[in-house]
Amino acid sequence: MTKNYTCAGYQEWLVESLNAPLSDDAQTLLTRHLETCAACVASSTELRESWDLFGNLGAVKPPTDVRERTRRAVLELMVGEKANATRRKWHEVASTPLAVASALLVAGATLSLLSGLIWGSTLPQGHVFFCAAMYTGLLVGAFSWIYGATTVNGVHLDVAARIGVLSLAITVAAITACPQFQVLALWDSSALGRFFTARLGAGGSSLVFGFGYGLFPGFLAALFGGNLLAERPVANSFVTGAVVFLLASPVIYLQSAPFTSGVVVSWITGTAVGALCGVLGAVRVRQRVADASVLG
Amino acid sequence: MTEDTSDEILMAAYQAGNQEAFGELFDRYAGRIYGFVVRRLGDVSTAEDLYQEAFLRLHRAKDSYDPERPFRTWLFTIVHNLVTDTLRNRKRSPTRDSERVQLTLAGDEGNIPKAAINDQSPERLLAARESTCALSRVLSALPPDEATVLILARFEGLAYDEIGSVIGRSTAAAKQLAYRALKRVRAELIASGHAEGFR
Repeated sequence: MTKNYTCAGYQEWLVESLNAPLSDDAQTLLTRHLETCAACVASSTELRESWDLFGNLGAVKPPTDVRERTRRAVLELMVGEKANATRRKWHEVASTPLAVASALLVAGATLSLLSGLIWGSTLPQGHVFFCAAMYTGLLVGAFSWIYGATTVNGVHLDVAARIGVLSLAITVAAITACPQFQVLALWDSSALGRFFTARLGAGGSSLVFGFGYGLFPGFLAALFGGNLLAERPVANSFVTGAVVFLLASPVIYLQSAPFTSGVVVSWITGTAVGALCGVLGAVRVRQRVADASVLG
Repeated sequence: MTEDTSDEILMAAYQAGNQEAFGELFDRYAGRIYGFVVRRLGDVSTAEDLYQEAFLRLHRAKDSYDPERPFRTWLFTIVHNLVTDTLRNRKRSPTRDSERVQLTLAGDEGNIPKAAINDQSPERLLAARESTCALSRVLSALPPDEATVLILARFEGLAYDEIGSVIGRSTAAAKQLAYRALKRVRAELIASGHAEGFR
């Protein structure tokens, strides 16, 4: 053990002894060292002098108005949060179990769809295609939900995710109640639908519809990702209503549409873009959380 | 809530939305946070803004507080990071340091040694004021980590392991920073001829 190393160690004790008593053993060793080391004695004196100088500085107190303004600012936030908490309660009920359940639901539905495609379905092909598009949107929503529930304290469940599961329930109910309801058929017969059919050939309108259908929930996830319903109630409620309508109303597509490679490409493209938008939404959530972090 | 209730228990209650718990924590730390920020920045007007921002940050971060962690270490970590961010921004748009210190200390009798006030000698009062200004100037001009360590140890009474946690360094490193800071303060005051004003 060199002298320098020894002195460096004692320096730490010298500093520590300024504002707290050392242990008996440490104090004994330090005292013994100081009896033999003039450099550390000088350091001890200098450190003590500097330390004591600061004793001459009086206490610094915040001005009363600043202090009270600060206290009031936080208390006002607390009052606002308490009011919001009541409105937000339904969001916080079992968000993680719901996320898992929605994932299982979507996975089951997708497997069912794929098995139908593989082993043959008695449903018209257009119906199968439409279901695929619907599941795409749900998948994107479920992804966002799972991400929100599991990574950011369960409070960033974005709008599209909530809508996905809600829409599935409504869709099932609507299928049961109104099997004749054919919004996609209406779309095909509309001016726009006829335009796309004329431009793209048979199934063209379905192709466009399928692309938009796959894209839309993901787009919403990107647009509103990270914004709590409680924070933007008007905008989010409007979007919720719009998407529920969109997802729930075109329940069954009974019109026989050719299940061509173009339709498959449309669905896959819609899925890819929708998923990309969902990822962007999730990234926004992460960014938002990072911005709010104060501990670095 | 009593005076004996620990900071950590108060913080847990505050996390749950208890306003009384926040009030008690605020009373305990309002002056200390202000003192830390003022001494660290040497600038009252900025310090007042930061003081409020510090408590707002505390509020926003309260859900991330781990009750197993000492509250005051966590709190001073928030404030230290806030001050560091501010100083970093200040470097990008610097103002004159001399103005800051004068703003901080002019007319502040709380910073004049009590012995000098009792003496009533105008010369002694003036010397004490100048020395106080010099000391505060030296303190706010120390390298950032040295200043933080010195203020937390000398004025806030934090142990060096707590200080190390606040600045993200080891306990030994915190002690070394304090050692260097005290040596530097002494050297600067002697060089500027103000050390005698305190003896």
